[in-house]
Amino acid sequence: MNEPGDLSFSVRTPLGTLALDVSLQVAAEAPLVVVGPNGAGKSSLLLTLLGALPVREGWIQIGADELLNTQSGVDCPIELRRIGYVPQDYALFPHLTVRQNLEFAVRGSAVPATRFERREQVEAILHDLQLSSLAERRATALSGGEKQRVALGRALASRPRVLLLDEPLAALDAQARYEVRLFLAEYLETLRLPTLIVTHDPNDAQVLGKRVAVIEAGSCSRTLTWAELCQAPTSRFVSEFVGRER
Amino acid sequence: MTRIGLAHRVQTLALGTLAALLLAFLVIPMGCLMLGTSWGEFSAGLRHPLASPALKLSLWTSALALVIVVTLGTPLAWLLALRRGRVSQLVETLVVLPVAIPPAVAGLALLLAFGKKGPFSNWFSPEGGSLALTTSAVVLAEVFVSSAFFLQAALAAFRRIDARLLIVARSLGASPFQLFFRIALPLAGPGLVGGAILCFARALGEFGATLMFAGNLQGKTQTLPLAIYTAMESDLRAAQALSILLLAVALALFFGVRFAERRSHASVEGRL
Repeated sequence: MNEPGDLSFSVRTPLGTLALDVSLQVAAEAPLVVVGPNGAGKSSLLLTLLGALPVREGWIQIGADELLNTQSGVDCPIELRRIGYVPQDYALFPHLTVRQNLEFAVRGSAVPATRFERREQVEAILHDLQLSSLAERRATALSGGEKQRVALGRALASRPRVLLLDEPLAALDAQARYEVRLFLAEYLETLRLPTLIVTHDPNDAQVLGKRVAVIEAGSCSRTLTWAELCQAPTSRFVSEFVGRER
Repeated sequence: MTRIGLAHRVQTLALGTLAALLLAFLVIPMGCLMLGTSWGEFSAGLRHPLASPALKLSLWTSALALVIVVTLGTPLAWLLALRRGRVSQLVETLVVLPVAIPPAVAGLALLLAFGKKGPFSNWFSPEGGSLALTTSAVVLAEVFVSSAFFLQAALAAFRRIDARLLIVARSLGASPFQLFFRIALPLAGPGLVGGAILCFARALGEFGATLMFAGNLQGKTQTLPLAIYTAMESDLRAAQALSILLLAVALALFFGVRFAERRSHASVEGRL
């Protein structure tokens, strides 16, 4: 069942008053969108996968590689998980230029490279994400859409095996959101990396995700297609979420 | 309407009076120090035989103390800022405690640790040596009393860094050195500079611990504050001139701190 390179996990851990309990599988060819009410544990789920929040019980695997298994005591540190993470508001390094942000990631990459190869990699990412003309700009002097591309490029520069995007479009205004969403959907298609996207926007869920998972009160264990979600709303949140479509 | 206006004015006046009393008490002595002397008296005071050696000793020992504190204290503050456990809270309390310890107590503690009867005495010489009454003792006393000022500022500066930046950096595979030198240091830099200035100011003004541990030996352990203390007995003018000098240095350092603080906030908000 578990294809090589797929992300699969089952994590249970207390989060304040909430109990996070999520078991899902993300395939490379089908980006998974995670939706749910505010405070349902969506962002925390990403942090537990990343290794920044402790997990009380469960396991995380990328293909056959075990990142976490509380039973056998495996707990791979953040630095070695090779999970690309784009947080909400992007968290670009404010004191570095666009190029330096990417260089930092390339240097941390698990794939060894000479100085020349590293420079080539940075140039390739700048080119792919249409950032070449912004390379020497400070990260703080960019528009929202530009920041989004830099954050994505930075995450990819470390050669991740999985990509986690937390509200990738929430910081953008309506016009930019539409454009960046289409760009992101196309780009993710070419990447073919298992990708998990947290969002509260039904449009994101529809355009970016091939599969949708609904987290409510910390729990979630199955994924649906958008059509399935619309046909059989399982809760009030879901029927309001897809409401626009009906 | 007028009753409310009157009440407001009376209350504001009451608060203002209390504030003004303290302000006056703080400003008047400094004013007397500055104004109660002429330029001739001031320059004569600076030529007092105690002045020049004490100034030199003060400056280089404080600078050395600062280098020691920053070199060892920056990693300490960073490691404490990263951890939030009970142990690190205890360590944090321990390292900032010297702010509250009276300098005389600090001096006695240093004497007991590094003096003739201390646990390290046979490190200095086989028959039992001591650091007391040496220039090294001056530097140690300054490090002991001033490090907490730097550590507090450095801790605050490191904690102001957005935690998500550190998480992202680690997820990109950053090594501990890359995280420290490429991310934490540049972002906390201005805050660290502010702490370093405060630390230097405290080292420069150090008196009690130095007197207890290093003594008051001219040219060897007599720093500027000790020279002021000594000069007071014979030549008040000289004491006053040296005091004005220290006050001027303190003022300059203080403006430095203000400047660093502004840069620190700018860097955290990403405006640098």
